[in-house]
Amino acid sequence: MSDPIEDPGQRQRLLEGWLPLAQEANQGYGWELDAAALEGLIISAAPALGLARSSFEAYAILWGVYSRLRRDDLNRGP
Amino acid sequence: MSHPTGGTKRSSWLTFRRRLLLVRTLLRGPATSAELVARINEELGEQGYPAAAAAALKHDFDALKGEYGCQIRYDRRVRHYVLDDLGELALLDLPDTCMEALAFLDASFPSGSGLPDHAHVRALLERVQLLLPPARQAQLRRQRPALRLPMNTGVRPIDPQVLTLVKRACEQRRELAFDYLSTFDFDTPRRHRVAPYGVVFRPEGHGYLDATLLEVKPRGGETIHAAIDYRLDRIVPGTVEILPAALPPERIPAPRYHIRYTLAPQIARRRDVASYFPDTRIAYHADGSATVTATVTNLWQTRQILLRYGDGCVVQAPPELIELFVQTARGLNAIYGARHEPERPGE
Repeated sequence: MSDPIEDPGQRQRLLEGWLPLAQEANQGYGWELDAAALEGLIISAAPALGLARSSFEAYAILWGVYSRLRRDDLNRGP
Repeated sequence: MSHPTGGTKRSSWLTFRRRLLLVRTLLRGPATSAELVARINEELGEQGYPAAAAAALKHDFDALKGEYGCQIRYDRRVRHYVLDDLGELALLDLPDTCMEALAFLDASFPSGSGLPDHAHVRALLERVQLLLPPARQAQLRRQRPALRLPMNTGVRPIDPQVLTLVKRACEQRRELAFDYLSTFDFDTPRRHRVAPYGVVFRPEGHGYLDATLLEVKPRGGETIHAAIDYRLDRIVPGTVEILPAALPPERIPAPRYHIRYTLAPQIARRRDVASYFPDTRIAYHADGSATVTATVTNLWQTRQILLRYGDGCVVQAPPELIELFVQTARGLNAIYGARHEPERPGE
């Protein structure tokens, strides 16, 4: 997963802002992502999360990005 | 010369098409007989219903019920026909993955949840379910997905103009000014000038502007250049102003804190401790407890998150965070300490 957020201050704040909601989704949806994977998910979803207008939309975006990443991983194979 | 076979075929096809149109129209919603006839005639023109359409319409309803098992009833109260069940015309079937997704949405948007913003989603789901064959409908009712979108009720709505202007300022990377009623302001908002960077939402449903404070009038306890999460519903509508000043390419660095806390065995023994902060590292110990380290900029938010562990969490660093917990403990003690009288044996 590439990290498009180059500014370390902005990256820190982005993660800090979204981790509580992403962690809630992680537990609620049973993804079992560890800390690094959760951060990767947020970084991947960051452009879309910037468009969210409610926590509902943010959950849906995370769910969509998680599904896409998982599908990509499965297609890539072992 | 007439062609009875071809004429019959054409007539049968027209009848079938008319009946399908009736069903499609009723799928849109309940309708009066006049509305149904108008819709059919609009689509089929001269091949639609004759001038005295009532008998033909009734005949079509009878055929839809008898031949296809459709359940169509007349609601006398509002004088509308209502489609309750498509019977054999429930032609939508879906792959199992789509059924799973439909069950997920069905669980996330339960009927009667009283969420007006989502009422249309529920209506859409009910329409889609109506199109499924009975067996698939039953399967959907049986499916109880573990996944569902958390719905937050009781959250104050964010003023749409506030959200629009805040997002625009973030996109254009320009300074923003607004009146804000913080937790520490009783009834008079103060004017904040900030560098805005984005909007985030928390699990409880509140939306926040992630910004760096540049100026606040009159001054309060805030630290200039601190990274602050502004609750969007506490920004006073009508006071938001995008300023001409552009933001520098790099964000003003906020003070960072390396936090360390220990979680008691009853919280950590399943080895599934949550990662709420950037750069989280978890070390599990033999006694079932865990030590967590991470990096944060917002100690107030950190305290709010860690409070969920109650007395199962002991903060070890930094001193500023420990001090926040000491203040919280003092406050809680002031509320509950005096009430607590240990029970004496025999009483």
